[in-house]
Amino acid sequence: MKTLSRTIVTAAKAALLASFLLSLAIRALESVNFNSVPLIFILSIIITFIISFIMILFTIVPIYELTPKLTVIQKFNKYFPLYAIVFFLACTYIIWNQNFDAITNIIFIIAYITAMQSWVWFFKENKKNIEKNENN
Amino acid sequence: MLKKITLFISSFLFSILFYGKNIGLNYLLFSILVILLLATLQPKKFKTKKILIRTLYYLAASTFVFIYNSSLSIFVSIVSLFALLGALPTFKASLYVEFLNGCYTAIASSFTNYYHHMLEETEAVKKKNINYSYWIKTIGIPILIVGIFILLYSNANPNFNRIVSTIDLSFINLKWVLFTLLGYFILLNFSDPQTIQPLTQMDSETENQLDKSTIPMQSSTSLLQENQLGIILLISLNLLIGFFLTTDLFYLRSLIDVAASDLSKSVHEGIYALITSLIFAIIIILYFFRGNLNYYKKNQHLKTLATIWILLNVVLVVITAYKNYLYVTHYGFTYKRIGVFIYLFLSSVGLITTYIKVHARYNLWYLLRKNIHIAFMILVFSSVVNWDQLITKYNINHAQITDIDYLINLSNNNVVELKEYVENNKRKTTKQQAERITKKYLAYTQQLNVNSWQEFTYDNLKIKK
Repeated sequence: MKTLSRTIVTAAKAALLASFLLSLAIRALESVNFNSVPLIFILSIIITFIISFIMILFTIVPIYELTPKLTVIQKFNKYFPLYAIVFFLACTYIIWNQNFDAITNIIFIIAYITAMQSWVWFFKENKKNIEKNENN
Repeated sequence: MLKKITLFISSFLFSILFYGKNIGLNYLLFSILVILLLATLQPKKFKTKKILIRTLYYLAASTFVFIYNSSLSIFVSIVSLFALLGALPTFKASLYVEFLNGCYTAIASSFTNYYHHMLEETEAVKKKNINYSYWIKTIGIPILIVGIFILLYSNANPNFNRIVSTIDLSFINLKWVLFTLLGYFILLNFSDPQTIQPLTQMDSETENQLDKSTIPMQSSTSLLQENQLGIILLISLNLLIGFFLTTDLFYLRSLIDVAASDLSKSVHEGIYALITSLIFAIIIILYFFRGNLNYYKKNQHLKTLATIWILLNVVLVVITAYKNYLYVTHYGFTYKRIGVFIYLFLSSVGLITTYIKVHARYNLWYLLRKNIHIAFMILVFSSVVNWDQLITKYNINHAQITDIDYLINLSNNNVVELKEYVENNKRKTTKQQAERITKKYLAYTQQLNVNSWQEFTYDNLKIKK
């Protein structure tokens, strides 16, 4: 239950971040009609929430759940670098494969930033728990 | 505070250098900016020999981006940057660990820092840390006062007014701001190098030498049997490769007059055989010399057979290199053929390090560390060569058959050579090829003429001469 609530909260934050960045990027593209930006923001929140939820559920939650012997910080330190490198390579490959198309660049840069920040949010631990783990 | 100001200025410079520009002089200037940034933030580390050498590699590779502007030089420069960033937090790590640490630093260091920073902070500290009034005073007040004085001076002096009105800030828009933020993110990552803790720790704890105390015990009968199996297997493999090489040598004598397709097939098959043979050779040697057999008193025959097999594989490398050489003298260089030579060289290095591993009782990590180090050196030196120009010059002047269409499809580094060739050898090129070369030359010189200062390359300087 605790993991599910972490997942939902992180996915919600990730959706907000991704939608905000996407709206900014779309606004920066001169060809887009400014009136459509709020609509895009609302639509993107729904879509990015679903995508973020699925991504967190299938990529971050297994690492969090399947390593019970490690503390939350140890899990982050051990698996985040690997996740970051693999995710970065995957995004770079897709961008390169699409010949550095502007829209693809924007989508995958945002996806990368959101995924990394999701790790930070998901593995956030309050001070009391950290001290409790250190004492144990 | 110093760090924040430095990063702010650097990200502004990043935008000036790269916003809406192609790669050229800006890349070299950015490399200098990165080195200055790192040296400002971590001055002590820049006094060590290792960091200075890494910096030199990075600077040299970036200079070749300015000179050749090729994908290879950009790739080598990025790899050198990773090596430099990875070497900063760990002085004794292996090169492959430095690459991974550098890569991790470049892409995600700021997230890690933010995470650890967030864990350490209590709410009270957070509020204390973000001192809004301080920032408003520090940035807002000077901007306001300077603005008022600019207005006053403009009214007082027409010349000053004229100069001020020529400052064009129209390039600052949302797109530019986002691009600057991207630059800030990249430079923020660079500014605080991180390590992949488990990997770095494992690497620092692993020596090159085999540790007898960590090898599981094996009975003398089991060791004897393993030694016998190794001897029988290596005798069989030596006989097989010996027979293969004998037939290949006879075949080699007839190769000089064969058709292009046969020569091509022969070279490619030789390479595939070599790749398979080398992988098996190294795996088998590593298997038998993984533990107790290294210390077994009667392992002399096994060692000798392993050495013979390594030598025979070196012969296979030499024969394949000769086939590739024949191929090149007939049909000229291509990237694939140069790649074959590099692969063969690296294979020889792999075989030599395997030989050293067997005789000096090293472990698998030794092989990995040495071979990656040598591959990195080759990569750095390969960026020094202007490959497109070299291929073009060789194929035009020495190859018996020249594939002009292949040369036209190479980068712009060979336009001058192609232009001269088409002017001096009108009969050797078709009308269509001559048109394509002229078009390529004109397009390139036109592009050089419209290059902004950020996009300047070495060719711009040559044109001016």
